[in-house]
Amino acid sequence: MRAPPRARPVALNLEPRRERDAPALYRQIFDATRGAVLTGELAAGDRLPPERDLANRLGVNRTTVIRAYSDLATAGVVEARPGRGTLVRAPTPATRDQARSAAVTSIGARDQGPAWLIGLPPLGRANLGPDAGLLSDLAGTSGRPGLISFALGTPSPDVVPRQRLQEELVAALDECGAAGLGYGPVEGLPTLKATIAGRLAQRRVIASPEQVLVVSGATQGIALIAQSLIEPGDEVAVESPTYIGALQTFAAAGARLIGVPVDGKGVRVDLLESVLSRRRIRLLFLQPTHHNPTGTTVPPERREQLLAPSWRYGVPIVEDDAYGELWHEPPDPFPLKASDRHELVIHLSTFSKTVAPGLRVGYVAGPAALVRRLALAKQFSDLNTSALSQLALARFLAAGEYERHLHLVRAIYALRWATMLAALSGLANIDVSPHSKGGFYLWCRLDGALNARQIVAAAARRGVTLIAGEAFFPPGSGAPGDSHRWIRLSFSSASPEAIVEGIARLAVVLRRQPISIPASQIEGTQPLV
Amino acid sequence: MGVPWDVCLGPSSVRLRSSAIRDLLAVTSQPDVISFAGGLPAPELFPIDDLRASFDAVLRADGAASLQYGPTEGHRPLREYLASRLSLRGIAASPDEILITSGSQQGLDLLGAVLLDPRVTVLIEAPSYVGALQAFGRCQPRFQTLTMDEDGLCTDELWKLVDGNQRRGLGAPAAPAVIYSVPTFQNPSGVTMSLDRRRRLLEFLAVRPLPLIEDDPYGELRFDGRDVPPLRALPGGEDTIYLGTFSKILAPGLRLGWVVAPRPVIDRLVIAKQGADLHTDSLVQRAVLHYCRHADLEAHISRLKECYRLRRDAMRSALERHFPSGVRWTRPEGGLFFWVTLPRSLDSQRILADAVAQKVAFVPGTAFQANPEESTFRHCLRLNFSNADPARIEVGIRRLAEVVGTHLEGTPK
Repeated sequence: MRAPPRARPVALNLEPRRERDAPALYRQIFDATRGAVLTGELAAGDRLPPERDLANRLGVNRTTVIRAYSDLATAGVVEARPGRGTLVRAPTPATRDQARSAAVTSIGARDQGPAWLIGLPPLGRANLGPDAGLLSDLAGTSGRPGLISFALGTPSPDVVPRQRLQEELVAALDECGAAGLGYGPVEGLPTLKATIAGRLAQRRVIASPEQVLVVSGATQGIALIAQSLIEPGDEVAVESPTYIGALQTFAAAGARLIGVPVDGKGVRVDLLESVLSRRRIRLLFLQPTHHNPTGTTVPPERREQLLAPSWRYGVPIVEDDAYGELWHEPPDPFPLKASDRHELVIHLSTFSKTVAPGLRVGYVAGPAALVRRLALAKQFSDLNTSALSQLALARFLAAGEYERHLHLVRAIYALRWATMLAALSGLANIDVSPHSKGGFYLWCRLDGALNARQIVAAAARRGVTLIAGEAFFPPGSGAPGDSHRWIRLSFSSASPEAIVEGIARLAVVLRRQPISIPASQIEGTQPLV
Repeated sequence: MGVPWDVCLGPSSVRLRSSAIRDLLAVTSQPDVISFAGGLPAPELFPIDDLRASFDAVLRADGAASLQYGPTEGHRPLREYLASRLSLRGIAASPDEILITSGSQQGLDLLGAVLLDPRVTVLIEAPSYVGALQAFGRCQPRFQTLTMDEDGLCTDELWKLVDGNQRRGLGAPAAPAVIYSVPTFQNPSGVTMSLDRRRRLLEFLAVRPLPLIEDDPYGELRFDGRDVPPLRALPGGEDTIYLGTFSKILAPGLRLGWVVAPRPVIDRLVIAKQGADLHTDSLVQRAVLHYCRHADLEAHISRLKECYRLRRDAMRSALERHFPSGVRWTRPEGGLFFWVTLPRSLDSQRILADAVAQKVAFVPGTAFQANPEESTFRHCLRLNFSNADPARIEVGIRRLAEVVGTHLEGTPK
């Protein structure tokens, strides 16, 4: 049963600004409404003022209000209900029944399946948002000839330490024999856990091997945390924008995602405080270091400010540190977990970005009680992570190769980062967010006349892939009005020469000039590595 | 305030079934314990040299791709290989109808996410595979057990259940229910569903379309008797879901399995897998494919069957010689397990405590109950015969028989 709308329409706390450089009036209405929903001033089911009333009160044209309400509806913040006005929607995901009918409809329309498909519970693209297939689609495109990829968040194939891993793997099989091929401990191989704990200690994170759980990639870490700490309908606060995979995995667990905007120093603590105080947030998911997609690193003083509300409201923080060790300039920004003295932070990382993603090895470090619970969930999910990959990595880390390898790849990525920044600096209609000092990405805002999805599609036709920024914003109230103008460019997997070439192709698209490279030529072009 | 972890971890704990296997494996890892507990393949038969050669070759020839992200569905050539290998068992499936999983445990977990919610009833054999109960349990379905006899699950009960529900207004024809079965060399009973029962099950599904999950990790490990085709290979089985794995025919540490399902189901599983672990280890997928193409998997499976047949015979013979009258056991023609039924007065969990003191272990029957409050299998136990050689089997069964004997006499130590 949906609660009936409140009898009185809520008042919007807005004094429109009319100076020359003020945002458009419809945009101000949009932002004020979305902000009120975000902080909880407006709740699901609240009724916005009728268009005519608001127009009169603000002294604006009625079409301005209509435009704002329409954009809010498109963004999933509100919905127009016949006879009841414009109501604030519950945060995403849609209710199970809505998602179910959507999923069944979409499947029925696409493919004639067995009769028993009707009646399946909802787990489809419907409740994971429009980009549900994006990550797997992207993963499948790696290695397509002729393509320059600024889309994939993958380490460059030419920096993956193939030969060392080969030697370690063969040596591990010699040494361990059958033990490397049998079922292993759910929590991970003791040698690898001990090595990870030692490595964390160097980064000032105190964790015993019992507080470490080896997982099949950071994605599994997020999934296990979601399964163990989130009930369907619980609210999870995330940075807006944030990692697509986290949005999807939390959504699949039935979480309602509450986006908290970021600035040049990471998540905005003032808004976070407000969200935590007004809402019942169960979990905070943050990337304090080399944030994906913006590249931002939270400076030391703000880290303390992040931990304080987490402590005060008793809300655990999941720190996704996938890119933490990949900085372009020293010093090492130690993990948020290094500042955590009260068991507030669940530290999550992976060897996918630093060593090799295909091995699917990541880890969680957190309170022992939590780690035990996650291990139980992992047992039910896949018993254990591939033992051979763990053995090879354990040997790679123990031999000191990891440190040498990090040193090497940091220099390589720093060069690519600088190359891409320089190449982009010549383009007029794109603004690069200036905060990236590490990781794999540049976060860019397109000129007002350009739409990111159209640019992405046009660029793909020219043999360069990138990702439209909208996918990184939590659906519903979390997306800012200009989310359709952002793109994410990854500089990690293309060589400097390919980066220059790829940005040149992108420049052509941005200038909207006719295609100058014949399609057949793109097909045959090998990546310049 | 800080994070109240006990509170945070509280509510969802009820969703997780306690794990009997997990507690047991801790006890039985001591080397002097003869363990009939785990469903473990014989480690001395792992083809280490051939696998090492395959890992080496793949990293040499295809190193970049095998260490890189890969598609969620799995490595395409491996899916093609599996499609052709499955056709040898009568299963017609295109590569697009096959999803590679991180072991078949993940297949069960993903199927749970896609098919189950608290309104759905899982119709499941009694006794049932623990891992399936655990994976499905996360979605909090209702479990409804089906009786098994020596011909497998009793299909007549399906009609009664569904018709009964309908009479009580509980189930329209599309009532949400899923059937889960391990029809061949079932875990834990070792029983194989007869061909006649398989046909009856498919007849039922033709009238009452429900998803059927056929879990087949042991199907290729037949030592004697006539082969029975998988349900998925029989007429009318085209819309069923089939799970397979390399764990029992190659090595469990590889964590490599697969799901065969209609395309729309695969599409959903892919979405679920993307959120679960993105994709399965690229290197392992390629190395196993290389092994399958260049080493002789069929010859390896023949060696496994020969070895396990001797162990099965050794255990059967030891059971016959050492166990007191009034104890019954199943007659597996393959797979890894015997299911032993003791006189009703005995409690196998209490026997286990004494058995472990005598350095022999098994899994008590209560671990295989879908609903924890039941006590149907309190006097039963599962014995694995693949993980110990015939000499150790003889010693272990003798020890176990002594413990059972003391319990029968009413004087347990």
